[in-house]
Amino acid sequence: MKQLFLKAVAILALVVAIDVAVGSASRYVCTHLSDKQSQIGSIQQSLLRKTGDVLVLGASCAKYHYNPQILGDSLQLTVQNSGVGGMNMIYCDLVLQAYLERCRPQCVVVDIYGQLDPGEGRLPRVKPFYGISQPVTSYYDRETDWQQRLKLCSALYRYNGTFDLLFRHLLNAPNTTNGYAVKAGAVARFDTVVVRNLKIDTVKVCHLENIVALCRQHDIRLVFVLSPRRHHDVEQEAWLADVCQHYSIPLINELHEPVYYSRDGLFFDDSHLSGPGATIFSQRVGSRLKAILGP
Amino acid sequence: MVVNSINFWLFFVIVLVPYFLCFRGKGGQNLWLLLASYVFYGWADWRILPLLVAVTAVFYALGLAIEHNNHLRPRRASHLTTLGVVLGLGILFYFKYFGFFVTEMAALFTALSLPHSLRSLNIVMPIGISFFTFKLMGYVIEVHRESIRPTRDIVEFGTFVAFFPTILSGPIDRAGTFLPQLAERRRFGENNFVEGLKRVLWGMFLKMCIADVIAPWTDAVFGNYAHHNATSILVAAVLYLIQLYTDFCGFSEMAIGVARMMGLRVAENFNRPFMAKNVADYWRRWHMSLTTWITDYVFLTLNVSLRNWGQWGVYVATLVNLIVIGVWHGANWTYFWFGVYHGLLLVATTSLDKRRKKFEKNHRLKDNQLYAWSRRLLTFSFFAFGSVLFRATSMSDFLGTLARLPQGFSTLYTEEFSSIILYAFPAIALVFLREWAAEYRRDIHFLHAHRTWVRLVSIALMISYILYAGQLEGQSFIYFQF
Repeated sequence: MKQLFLKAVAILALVVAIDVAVGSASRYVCTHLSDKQSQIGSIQQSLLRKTGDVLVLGASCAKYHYNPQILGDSLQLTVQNSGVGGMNMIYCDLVLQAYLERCRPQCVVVDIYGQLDPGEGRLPRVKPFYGISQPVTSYYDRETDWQQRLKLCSALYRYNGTFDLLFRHLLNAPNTTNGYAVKAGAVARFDTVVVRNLKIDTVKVCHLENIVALCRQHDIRLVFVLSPRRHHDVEQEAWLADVCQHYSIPLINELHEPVYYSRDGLFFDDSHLSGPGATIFSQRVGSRLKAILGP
Repeated sequence: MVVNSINFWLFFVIVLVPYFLCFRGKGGQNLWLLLASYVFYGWADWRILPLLVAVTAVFYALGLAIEHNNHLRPRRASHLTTLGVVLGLGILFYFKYFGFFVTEMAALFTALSLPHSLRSLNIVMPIGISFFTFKLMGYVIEVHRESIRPTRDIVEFGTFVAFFPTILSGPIDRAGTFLPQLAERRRFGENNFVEGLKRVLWGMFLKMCIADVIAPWTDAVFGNYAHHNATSILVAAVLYLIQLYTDFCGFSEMAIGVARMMGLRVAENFNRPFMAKNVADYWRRWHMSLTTWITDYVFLTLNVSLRNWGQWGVYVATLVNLIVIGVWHGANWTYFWFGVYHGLLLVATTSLDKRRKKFEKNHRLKDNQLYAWSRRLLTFSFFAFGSVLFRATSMSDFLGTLARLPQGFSTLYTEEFSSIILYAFPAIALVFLREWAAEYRRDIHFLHAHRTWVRLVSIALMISYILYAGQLEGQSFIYFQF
């Protein structure tokens, strides 16, 4: 029995040693990533580094639709795109909080479609920044259960799956263009489809309200945008219009604009614009934002 | 409450400590285990718990009645055994197949333009029903055959039926080996405990570092096969077979390990199936607790009944045996055809066996390693192809997937594939190395090395690898649905 106990202690000590070693190395790499277009690079830049006058938040639609160069030229302001594929409103809230620790943007643009859908998405990919980014740390400490917090004590768990993201970052990620990425390739034009599938995650609504509150507190102009796509959830659209009216938030609704659906090659797939589509979108949103922000 | 969750391990500690420390006799231990098993099962779905308790009571009584009548009234004993088997099959049929049967009948009537009022039924299938009904049927048959004596202790019998590590997904224990263990008090044994922990660790490694890492990619390919080319589909078929093995073997290892820590040995389920050199050999190594059950109670019975048919009788019995194995998995035509496919493969293997042996003798191939590995590769390919049928949700899905193959080879679908290369491939290599070593009795042991420090370092590295590279937000086990 004594031997069993000693062996258990020895195994535990070894695991802790590996945990500390891997944790320290991963932490160093994650905080010293070069500015590239990979997923972990974008998350790191958004949570720890980037600043700008206009902050674009959202998931893949934000990443592939908002060209900071075009928006910046239109607004005569610096624009940072913090969209990351598979993310949701919780991530937007965390990025805004992290951003406010470094600077105060003049305007926050949220590509809102699908951001309040149920499901975790790729949010766990911010786990490597637990203990590094204050908003991420507070989020996990405040909003996750004891099991998750217990697991987060282990650096191996925190950096679980990070090797793959780092590998892709180091191997083949192109250099950044302020968070924007072009979807190469395009599909022929298509007819839009109306769907009715309103599912709202109440936790994410709380984070949406937090974003509204933060923007009011710091006197930041908040704008919501609905990007074009094939499937139009009319119930979600109506619900979002109500939210915007309730909080007096301007809504730029590009969902029904015929310009995107009238010719071939502007969409990469059902939900994402191609490079030319993103250019048109950025120009249109830029001019609408200019009108909203004023001189 | 899945075995690879923190909740399960808290539950297990709460069960294990009093199990060894508080009970001085086997009665208390068994009662405690039975209560724990019912809590565990009720946690999964409390609505089905009364069914489990009821069938346990009925089969307990049947076992005693069969033994009582075995010599006094053999015909009545046979009838009671038949009643037990019919009851077991009836429960299985109602919960697992009745809805499917009604839907198919309705489709048939509609196709024949016959009037009907059949509607689809939505019957909730109890978790683990295929496993505990097989245990119960096996019990009454064994009592009738007088291979075992029925237990008079209902707590002991209930523990055998509901034993929590195995009730959800097997292995399917036999009363003849399990009940005698419950008839004695279990004492804490360091060897059992350590061996059990090692098996749990190995099971977690298989499940979390291989099966769950591969699963999102194979789901993406098979779930959206119309958009994938032959390269992706063939790679997915190979990976799905590995996923299926590591998922189910992972669960079995954990179940065996947990039981072992409590001083109980349950049936083994896998014996290095990827080292099999032909289809028959593969089935002897794959899901052994099910295949031996069906061989003992279906194949042998059929074989005896069809003995007048000579070799054809063996072929028919083999085909039926494999169809039963296929259909056991669920109510879907894909499982039926999965059984037919493997049945035909097995018949072909059996019928060609003499010729193969002669060919090997003539060409002195018996000890040729290249030949042996070619056979293993061929067997693996047959099963990888069969796994596409197993994975398909319908026959049209399966045919649709096959229809993609003539479209030609092209670039592999690589979305998220890097995690398979980085995390799953090293783990798969380790599994193959371990199985190869065990097959050839080479002195390579990871968790059972002679030197203590090698064992300790191996365990620490394996825990670290699971934490760093494993899918820790755990997906459900594939075999839970059966």
